[in-house]
Order: sequence, then structure tokens, then C-alpha cells
Amino acid sequence: MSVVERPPLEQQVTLVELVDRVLGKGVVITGDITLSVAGVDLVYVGLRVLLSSVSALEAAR
Amino acid sequence: MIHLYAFACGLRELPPDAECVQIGGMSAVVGRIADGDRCDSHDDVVRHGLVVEALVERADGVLPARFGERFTDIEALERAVSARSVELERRLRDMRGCVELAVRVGRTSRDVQRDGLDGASYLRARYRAAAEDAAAVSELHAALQLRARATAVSEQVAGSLLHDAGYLVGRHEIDEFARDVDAYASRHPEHTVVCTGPWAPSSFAGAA
Amino acid sequence: MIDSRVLSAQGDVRDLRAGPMPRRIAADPESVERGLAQLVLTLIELLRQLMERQALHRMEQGSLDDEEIERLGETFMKLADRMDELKAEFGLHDDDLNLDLGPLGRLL
Repeated sequence: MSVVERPPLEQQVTLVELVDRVLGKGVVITGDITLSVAGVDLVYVGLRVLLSSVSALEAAR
Repeated sequence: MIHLYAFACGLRELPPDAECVQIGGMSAVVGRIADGDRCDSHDDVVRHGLVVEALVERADGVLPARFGERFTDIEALERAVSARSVELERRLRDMRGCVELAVRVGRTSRDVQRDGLDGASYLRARYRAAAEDAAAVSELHAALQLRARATAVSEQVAGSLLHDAGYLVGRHEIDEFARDVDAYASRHPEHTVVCTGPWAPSSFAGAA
Repeated sequence: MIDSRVLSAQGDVRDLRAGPMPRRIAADPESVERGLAQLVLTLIELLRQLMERQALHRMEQGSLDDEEIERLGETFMKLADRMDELKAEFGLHDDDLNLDLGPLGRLL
């Protein structure tokens, strides 16, 4: 059992925003980024493109 | 291995643990990681973000790189960047003097009162609520867009999230922008509204 | 560790950013069951939202007749009632129903 220390809410909000921006935004040069999510290698950029395509398909219908 | 944080122009000072490689008119701000090391833990991600954000105060313009841009050595970095230098330098120039403000809007109570309603009335009430939300958000975005040099609106809004956007502004425009957001929030107590920043302009960096 | 960059805030900001915030971590059987309920209810909620968005879109286009609107509305109301019951049963709130998928973002 463990209870995680909670920093002030505003810092949490800032931290979450920071991580989102680092992983999801910013210039991509190599075009193919491999990240490990829960110990499983994923081609991150490829997945993001896939998710965007699904929502674009939905919006187009 | 070389890890790329961002490109900068008019760089006055490097953040701790970062190096600078001059490529054409740009300063590539990099870090070095051991070859076998994955370096993609939550801490690594946060550290990347902090280095990029530290650059904003130390340079005229910052073009953030997405986390994970890695190169075997400096020469490999130079080759990759030179192949796209015209586009990258143009984007970096566009970032001079600018920061990004992030705005998110959500609906606090997600359902309408159901008691005693028939199906049609319920669905029409949901329709009206959705239409009102859309109109309010549209009004906010129009006002903020007037204050911004560029906007980046997320298409992936779902559930209680109504609006998720980044606005590119000059530093001296931050206070007025925040006041506009405050004004919207007071007019719409039914919405959760958060504005954060100033950030490095990551939403406007694009894919090369 | 990091200075706050919140310039303006109204409402419970956790509604918008519930995902990666630290939660109490426990390992008793009750919370495993609760975790499963959380997963299932989140997926049902996702489907409900997608279906409702479709229905509202068609209402906007005018391609639903009155009987269809009544039937759809009834169905969504019943679904909302059932969701409330299930949430109450498992002690879950709206902001619990949002799975954080890390770099893939949040499900809802």
C-alpha cells in the first residue's frame, strides 16, 4: 500500500501540460520516433497519425 | 548518442546540462545520452520539457523538438538538419519573441435534468446544451484569435472537453490575453476554464 | 520542481486533467474489482458519447423523424440512469471514468 505525495494542484496541472507538450508537440525531424510505453516499444508518431485518421474519418462522415 | 531539445536563435545562455551545435543560422540545443540507455522514463520526459522551457528565457526564438529526436552523433544531426534547413530556419524565425498560451474549456455538469422528461424532450435538451457550448467556445476562440499571431486548435476534443487550443502571442500580450480568458470564465460559470503559460511554442513547430 | 504556469483557472481543473495525477494505490480485491468496473464503464461511456454525437448530428441535419427522436432520447435516458446506478455501486465519479493512455492521450 502506498499513498503518493500530491504537490499543489496548480503544479500538477502544469506538469501534466508540460508532459503533453513534450510528447505530442514540437518539430519532428527523423519522422519515426520509437518510445517505450509500459516497457513495450511503440512507433509513437505512427500511432498518433493512426488516431488522427480515425477521428478525421469520423468527422468526414 | 545525441538528444535534440530544440533549435534556438539569439541564444544568450545555455541551460545546465545542455550543449549547443551551430548549424547554419540555428543553434541546435542538445544533450548527450549513453548509447545503450533508453532514456525515456517519465523523468526524462519532464527533464526535456524543463530544458526547452528554460531556453525561452535565454534566447530570442525557440523551436522545440518533439521528445525522441535522437542521432548517433553530431555529424548525423548536422546531416538531418541541413537537409531541411530552409524550412527549419523559417519556422525558427517565425518563433522570435513569441510564446504559447494554452487554453482548455470543459463542461462541469455533463447531463441535463432527466426527471419527468420524455425521450424527445431529453434529446432536444441535450442538443440545445451542445449547441450553447459550441457557440460559447466559438465566441471565446474568436476573441482570443484576435489577440494571437497564430492558433493551433485540437480536433480531438471529446467528452467534457469542449476546447483545447494553443495561441501564439508576443510576451507583452500575455496579461491582456489572460484577462480575456478570465472575462469569459466569469460569463460562463457552467464551464471549467484553464489557461496556462507562457510555454515554448511547441504547437506551432510542425513536422518537417 | 516546476513553477506553476496557471494564468487563469475556474472550476475543477481535474475534470480536464484527471489522467496522470497521482492516485492512492492499493492492492486489495475490492479495488481490483473497482478497476475493472472503471474500465468497463469508461468504454460504455465512450460508446454512449459517440452514439449521442451521431444522433445529435442527424438531428441537426433533420434526418430523424419524431418517432426516432423519441426512441433515441428514451434509450439515452435509460442508459444514463443505468450508468448512474453502476457508478454509485462502485463508488466511481465522472472524473474516474477517463483512462489515461500516456502518450496516446486520454480515452475520453
